[in-house]
Amino acid sequence: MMKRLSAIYIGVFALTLMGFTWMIRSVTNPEQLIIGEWKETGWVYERLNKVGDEEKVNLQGNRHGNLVLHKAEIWSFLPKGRLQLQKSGGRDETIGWAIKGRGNILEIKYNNGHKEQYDLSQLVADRMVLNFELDTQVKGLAKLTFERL
Amino acid sequence: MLRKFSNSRTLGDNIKLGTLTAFSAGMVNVVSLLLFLSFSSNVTGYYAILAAEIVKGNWYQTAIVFAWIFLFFFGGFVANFMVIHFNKQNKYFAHSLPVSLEILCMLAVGFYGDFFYQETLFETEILLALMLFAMGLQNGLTASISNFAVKTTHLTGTTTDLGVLFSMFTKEEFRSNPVLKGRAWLLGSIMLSYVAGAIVAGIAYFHIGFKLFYVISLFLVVVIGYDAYKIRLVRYHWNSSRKKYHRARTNDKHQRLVGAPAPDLEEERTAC
Repeated sequence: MMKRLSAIYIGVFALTLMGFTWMIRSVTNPEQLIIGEWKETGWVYERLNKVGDEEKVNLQGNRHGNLVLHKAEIWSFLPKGRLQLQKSGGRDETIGWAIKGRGNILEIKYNNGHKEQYDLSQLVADRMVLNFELDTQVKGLAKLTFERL
Repeated sequence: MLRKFSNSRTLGDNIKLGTLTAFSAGMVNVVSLLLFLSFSSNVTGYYAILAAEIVKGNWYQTAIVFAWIFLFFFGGFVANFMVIHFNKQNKYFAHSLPVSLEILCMLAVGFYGDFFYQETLFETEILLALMLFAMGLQNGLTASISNFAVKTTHLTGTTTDLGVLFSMFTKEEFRSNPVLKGRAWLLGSIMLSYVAGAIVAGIAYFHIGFKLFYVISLFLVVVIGYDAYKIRLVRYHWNSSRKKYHRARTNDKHQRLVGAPAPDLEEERTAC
């Protein structure tokens, strides 16, 4: 009886482990999928406190000292956590990136130590959607849409 | 804290165990949120996330969340397995083994994070997995040895129970019930301790980073060490009282053999 029970327990745990390994191996890791050049195609505030807050948000967003607004940029995700930002004015900047959580958060680290966290809401072969929580006063989510170059 | 089992535990035992482990769980949860941007001491939210990831078809995230939930479950399984299988040989050993494993997990996370962490997704997921397993161990152990009275890694049940208890205290008959009052003290101390641990970790993280895991391990060492100290103290008292008893018996025997009664017997014999 004891032997049979042990076999059942070991079997269930082994099957769980095998199922997990199979799932992980059969899909692409977001850290590999993100590597490459992405062009920003959209930048919108997705959620606001109330209708008509767009102007207020834009003003606060521009005034905010720590907030870096990425608009019309090319983001090149390079291996070893390097990210090259090609800004619309032609100026380049190389910063750091990391994917955290369960593969759902993109963290960007600027060279001055400032960090930004984006919710990686969609990441497929040719499209990436990032959601950025601005701050507690604005309570809006900026949605950044990218297409692979 | 760890020596006693189930109904033989006092309210004081549960409060001591609850506050210390809740403090460390609060620290673990906040530090994992700050370092890895994910919670590690509760899995309720992960069930909802699991369902959401399945609906969205994000199979990588589904697998990861499933593995984390499983590891929390497995931690509980291992803790209770140790308690029920080694209890007869040595109760203290059986109860302290899961905490020792938890300390090892915490030290591993702290050491790896301090010296090798490159912030890759694989590393993040493995370190989070270790923390979830450790929290499963802790919750499994405290629940198992306290007859499900102490659960310290999450506060959903605690908050609900406190709400129920406080509503009961609106009636005099329940207000004067010492069992209910004791339960309220226990749950209240767990809740406060968890929040205190979270605040301390939130502040300390910015100064010591991954070294915070060594501090968490230290708290868990106190949980084990307190009982080891108590056992030594009890043994010392037991041995010294046994020695006293033996010394008294030997003196008594000696007195009987060579002491006062002998001349009386001699006198009696001569009188006869």
